[in-house]
Amino acid sequence: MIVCPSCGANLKFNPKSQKLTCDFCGSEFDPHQFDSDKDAQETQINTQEYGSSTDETPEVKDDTYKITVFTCPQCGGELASVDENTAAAFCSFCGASTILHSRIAKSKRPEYIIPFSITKEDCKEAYSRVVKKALFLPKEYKSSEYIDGFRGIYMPYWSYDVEQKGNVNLRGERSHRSGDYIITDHYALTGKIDAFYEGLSYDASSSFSDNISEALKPFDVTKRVPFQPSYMSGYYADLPDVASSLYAEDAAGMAYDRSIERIKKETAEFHKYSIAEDKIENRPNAPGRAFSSKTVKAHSSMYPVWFLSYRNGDRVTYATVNGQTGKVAADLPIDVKKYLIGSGIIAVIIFLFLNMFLVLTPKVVLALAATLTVLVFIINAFQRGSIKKRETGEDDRGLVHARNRERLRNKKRNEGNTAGNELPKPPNVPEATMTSTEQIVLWTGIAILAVNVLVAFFIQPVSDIPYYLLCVVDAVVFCFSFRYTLINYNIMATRRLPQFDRKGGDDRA
Amino acid sequence: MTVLKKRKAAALLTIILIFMFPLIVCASESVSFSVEDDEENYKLYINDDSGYEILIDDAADIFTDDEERDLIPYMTDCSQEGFVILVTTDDNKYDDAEAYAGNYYDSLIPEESGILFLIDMDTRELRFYSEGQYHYELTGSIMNIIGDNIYRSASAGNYFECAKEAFTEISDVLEGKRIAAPMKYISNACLAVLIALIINYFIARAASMMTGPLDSEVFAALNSRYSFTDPGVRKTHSTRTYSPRSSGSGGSGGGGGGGGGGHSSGGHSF
Repeated sequence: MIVCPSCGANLKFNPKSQKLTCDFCGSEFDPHQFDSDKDAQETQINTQEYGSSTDETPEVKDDTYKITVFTCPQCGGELASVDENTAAAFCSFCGASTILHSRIAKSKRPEYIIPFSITKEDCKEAYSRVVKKALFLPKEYKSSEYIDGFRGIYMPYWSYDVEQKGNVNLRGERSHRSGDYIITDHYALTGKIDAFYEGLSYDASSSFSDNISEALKPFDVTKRVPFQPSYMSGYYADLPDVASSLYAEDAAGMAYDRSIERIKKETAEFHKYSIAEDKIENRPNAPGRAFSSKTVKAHSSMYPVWFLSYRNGDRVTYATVNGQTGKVAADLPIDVKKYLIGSGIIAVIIFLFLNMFLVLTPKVVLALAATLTVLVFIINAFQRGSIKKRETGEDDRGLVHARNRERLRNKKRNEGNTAGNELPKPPNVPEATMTSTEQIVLWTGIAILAVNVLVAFFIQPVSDIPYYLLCVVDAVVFCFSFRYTLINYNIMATRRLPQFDRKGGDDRA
Repeated sequence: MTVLKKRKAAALLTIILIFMFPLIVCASESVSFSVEDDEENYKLYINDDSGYEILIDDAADIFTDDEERDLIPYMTDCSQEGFVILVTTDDNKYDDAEAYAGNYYDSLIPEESGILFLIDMDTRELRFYSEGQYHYELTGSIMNIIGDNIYRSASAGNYFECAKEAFTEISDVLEGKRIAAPMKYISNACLAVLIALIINYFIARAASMMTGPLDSEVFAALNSRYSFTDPGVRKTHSTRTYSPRSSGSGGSGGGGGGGGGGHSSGGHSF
């Protein structure tokens, strides 16, 4: 707890004034005024250097700061606070309303922090603006009581420095026609690059979903400051558990693509040549690349995020707001009743429009009904793919990394103990597999579509009745399939209750 | 009292009859026509009011003489703004009812306002073809509706009823009346619901999409330094690929034909 030097009450960081403020006496203090004696020695400590000295272990110094770690008894999620006297009454990860177990611990000091500059009120306004546009969002997501639950959490990020220095070798070409031939002249486009990108950031917590952390970007790293625990006063922090090496190549690759783009755009001498696409796709040092792009440092950082979770049965949704820019990334499920009412209104408009301009022959009506039904099947297939990735965590590299590390730890442990113990398996995903009813709907639908094609293109009955009957059948199959589309949508817009087995720390621990 | 009531009723009836008489006369005048040519399968009449001709060419011989005569008043009702033609065939050299109808019309009265109704016994299709003023009033959609409404009579072999109903509905459309189109409304309603459900899905998806930042946004929020110096260009080699110039169909196509009001076509198989 950071104590007010004037009155002894608790000081909290105020995003508006960027100072520590005493709620009791109103005094304000510079956050760097506290804990400043450690700055000098700790600045280097949480920096991972890449290159020739990659495997060297940094000199161990007292690079820690004291925190209270709150652990959720239900999901194992952990949040840290610098306020010893605080108590957490709900878990931000699984939404459980329970008193979290707390313990005093020491954690590695991050190198940088971007302090909150968006207040809770600003955050609530930003979120409200977004959910106002989400027409089918259940009303509880818009209630002021729910929105009031936003909690300020510093999320751990790795911010990478990328250096590009040396010769550039690109391939360019120009073509012209000569009779029946196209003549292509090939050129070597050369130059020297000297570029440095400081602060390419990737989230360092497996509990913080990659799709949310990406959607919240960008954080303005030019505004980051050296870490002081006092910035955390009044807020929580998530703990890093992802190795800095995980995203090092991504950062180098991203910087490479950026420089290639700039060379193409800004070098007038190269404008008349068509430069072969040389997108790096995370392989910055692969042979044949135009120049070297290396991650030279990874800084452990804390970025501000307003975080809100809502638990509904065995599903949870997250709403997050970038604590620096106010950008919102939120799970937005739909209320089926609202959805159907909205669809009814749109249907009336479409109906009037169709009546004004179109009289469709039975064959065209059948073709449209069949096309829409096929479209629903396709949507369902895509949904199933996304659900599988989401539910197994395949789309979250941080989570996959943490799981793999845990599996390795278990393996090592098992090798030391009883042989034959199996490694923990990734979670089952019952939602991602087709239910028998869904399979029946799918196969019935395919069979009916085959009948559609048979009738419309081969039998071609004179009477309209078979066409209209098939339309009705198509519509029924559509409705059955679309029911799953909505169910899948809500699975995609929500998340499994998390289960953490965190052993903490990054790969240097 | 009873006698007084009867007298009043008689007076009222007389007044009604006096007012209705000119209407009845007019109504009977609206179907006035005269015979111009009357052969076995080819009958030509003229609408005395509008001057437009009415033709029945029953090459397939599916109407009796009485039926053809009975159809004339219905066709006459449709001939206020153009020619009205009823054609039947059992030998369609085009194997396509629409082509047959169009060619028949153009060979007879090219670019004149009119409506042709074809009963094609060869391809088993009913086909309408309209030009001029009728093209605007009897659109393809309306012809499809009429086709929907009459094809059952044709399927049942009742060609007279089919043709009579066709010209009655054409006449109704020309007079601005609505014709029954129950399946149009039912199918449009069904399609509207299905399309609305799908559209809303994409609206919901778009609203909930978590999109990452553009690369330019990410780099704008970084400290960065970039310099590119000593640009040089050196030709390394040349390659050539055989790619013959396309011949024949090059060049821009000629302009299409002039306007001329266009035509509409629609129908149904039977």
